[in-house]
Amino acid sequence: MAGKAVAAGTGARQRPSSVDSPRWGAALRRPGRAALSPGARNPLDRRRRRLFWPFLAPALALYVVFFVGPALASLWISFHRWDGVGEMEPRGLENYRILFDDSSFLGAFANTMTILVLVGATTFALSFALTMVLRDMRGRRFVRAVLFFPHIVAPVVLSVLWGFLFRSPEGLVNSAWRAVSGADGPNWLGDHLFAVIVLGLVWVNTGFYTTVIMAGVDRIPPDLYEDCALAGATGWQRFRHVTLPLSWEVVATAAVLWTISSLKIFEFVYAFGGTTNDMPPLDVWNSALFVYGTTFGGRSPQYQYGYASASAVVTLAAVTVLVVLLRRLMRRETVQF
Amino acid sequence: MVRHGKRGSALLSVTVASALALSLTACAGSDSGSGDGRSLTYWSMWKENEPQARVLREAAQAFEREHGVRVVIQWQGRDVLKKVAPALRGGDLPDLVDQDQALVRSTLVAADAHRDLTGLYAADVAGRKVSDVVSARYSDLVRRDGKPYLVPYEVIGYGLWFDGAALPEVAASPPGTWSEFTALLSARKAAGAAPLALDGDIGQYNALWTVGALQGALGKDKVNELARDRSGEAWRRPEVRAVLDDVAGLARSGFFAAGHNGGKWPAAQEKWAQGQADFLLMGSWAPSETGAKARAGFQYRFAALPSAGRQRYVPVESIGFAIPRRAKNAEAAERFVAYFLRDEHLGRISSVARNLTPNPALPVPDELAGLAEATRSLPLARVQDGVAEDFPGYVEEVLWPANDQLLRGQTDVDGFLGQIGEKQVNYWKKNR
Repeated sequence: MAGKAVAAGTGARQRPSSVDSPRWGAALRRPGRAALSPGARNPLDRRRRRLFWPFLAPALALYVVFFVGPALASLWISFHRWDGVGEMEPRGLENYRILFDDSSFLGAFANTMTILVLVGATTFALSFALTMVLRDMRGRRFVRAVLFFPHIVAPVVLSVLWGFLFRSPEGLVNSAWRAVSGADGPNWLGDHLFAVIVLGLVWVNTGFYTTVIMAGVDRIPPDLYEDCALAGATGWQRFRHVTLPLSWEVVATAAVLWTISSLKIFEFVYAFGGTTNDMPPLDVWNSALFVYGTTFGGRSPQYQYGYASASAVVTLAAVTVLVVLLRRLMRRETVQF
Repeated sequence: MVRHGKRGSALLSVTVASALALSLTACAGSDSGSGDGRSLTYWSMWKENEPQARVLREAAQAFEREHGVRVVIQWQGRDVLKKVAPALRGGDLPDLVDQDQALVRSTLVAADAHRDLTGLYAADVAGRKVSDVVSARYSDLVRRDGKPYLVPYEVIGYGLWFDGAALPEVAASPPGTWSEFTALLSARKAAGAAPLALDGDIGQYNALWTVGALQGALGKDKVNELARDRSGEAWRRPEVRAVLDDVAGLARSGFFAAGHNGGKWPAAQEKWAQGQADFLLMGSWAPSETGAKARAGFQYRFAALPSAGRQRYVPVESIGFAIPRRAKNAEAAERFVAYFLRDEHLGRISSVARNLTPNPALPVPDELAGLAEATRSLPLARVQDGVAEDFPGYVEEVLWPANDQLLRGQTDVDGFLGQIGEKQVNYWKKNR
């Protein structure tokens, strides 16, 4: 027992599969199809299989009608010029050609990627840090609830609150800044609007991912940490060799979840950057806002459904590639414990 | 048997559910308008608790009593045309809608889905014609190919607002030229006042300055021509550059009160209403929107934006009725519109909703008296020179991003020209 903990604690590169303890051995037995097929012969499983389609069909039908269908329709529309009212006018790949030369779209796409990577990385780093702190903390359920809170509150409300915090010169942040340093703080909304949006998104999402990751970490048997403690492992070693490998599945799933949901971020940017009647300024648009801005956003909407569809298809394609890459990158043997 | 029965019923339930769902959609898609002229559907841009809604509702009730035609009003709010747009292709359309001219033009008119209202302008309004009631100064601005697509019932005018009690000498003789104006601003600044209030997070408020100054110097419809130029080079003409430099000078000279860059609407306009800044460039909603915050004794006064050239203009924008081409009860809708233009109803847009009407003979609210006088004595122009309505998306993607930076002092005229040129080429590439 102690030996294993030391191996973990000393940082020896160790794949679970190379360990032959009973616990790891059990981890490697992955249930495959072969394990299920004998069961299929028993009457319970037969009845289960009979119920498979009736149960699946409604959900599948809804999914096809409301997700797959519109996605395919968007692809079809993206090869046309269409104002949503008149006839569609075929355009071939013209929309895509223009798109890759459109500074508004490229800027929005870059912002989407910034949110995906920068906000994602920061959120996950913070979530892990908080998880490690909260693991041993008293009252952690309460703290977790507090952390989760920003995720529940409507983004519109948050954006109003953030407006009060960051506006200058009289915002709370800059008032505090002046009180502490005596100098005027940065012009948050005027000069660093996108940075504040990035900050806000990290704040909104950290609670959610902390909760998800903590759920994974909570399942790790405490005796592994006791082993670490006996072996004198540092906090970082504990994280590197116990927490991370054993919560890997959860992290990988959360990463995919973030990648997909980061694409759809809309309200916070819209409400925080925009005003009563207007879209936020062009330089903070992300792809979702670009789609809105080229269809029915703004004072006098553009109604360019073909062009907006093309931008949505490009973003979807980029993110599909990213998700596949991410899954490959994060693929590990499942560790059961 | 049991097995088949279960599967059968499961499949049946799915089929029935799908059939129901489809039939429901089919119902939603069909036209339910009777087209018998006994009632009409009106989708309004107002919310039920707004004063305009009250005026319209009471007029509709009176119309039903007198003519037996029921007006079914849905208070859709400002996004009304975004709800009309998807219905244009197929689905229930209202018989009557209202919005500002820019949105009607960029939605209904752009899709060629509007009704030509030439006939309505000849209709009777208590012994007069609609064209006699609605001043041609406004109806001329709401035409396409010479045919009107809107009947205005409320007019928004834009210009400088200030407190006549605090600045009596300005109220007595407002500045007419740009140099008089900047001299006044300098004097006010030297006296320790903040001359201009601007909520700079609103792109349109920033653009009112630049486009207003350009309209004065170049004439109306000239900014529209600059925007139409596919190369974006037209902005580089020396006469344009000179005006842009005048506008940039406002920021350079520090005339805008602190918070114009980095604040949040409505902070600046509220400070102005409390007397912490002198002038506010805004539409005629300024008095009603800031009234609750205004300091005691505040006297709303209006002055047209001083001109950087020969002519001063009053930019205006009409809010009015439009009728979709496919409307089932278009005639009934036209009768209601003509009915609403009678003095006893239209006059309440002034007395109850505290706004200007397109009928110059009607009384105006006290706080808008200066604006009403200006709309009579000065030539009118479209707000932002009509670029928002003629070129959808242009302001958001081209004009405002460059102009915001100019007004904030984040860029100079060359930076503005570089940016607007690049963005304008980009815009026309996708909108050709």
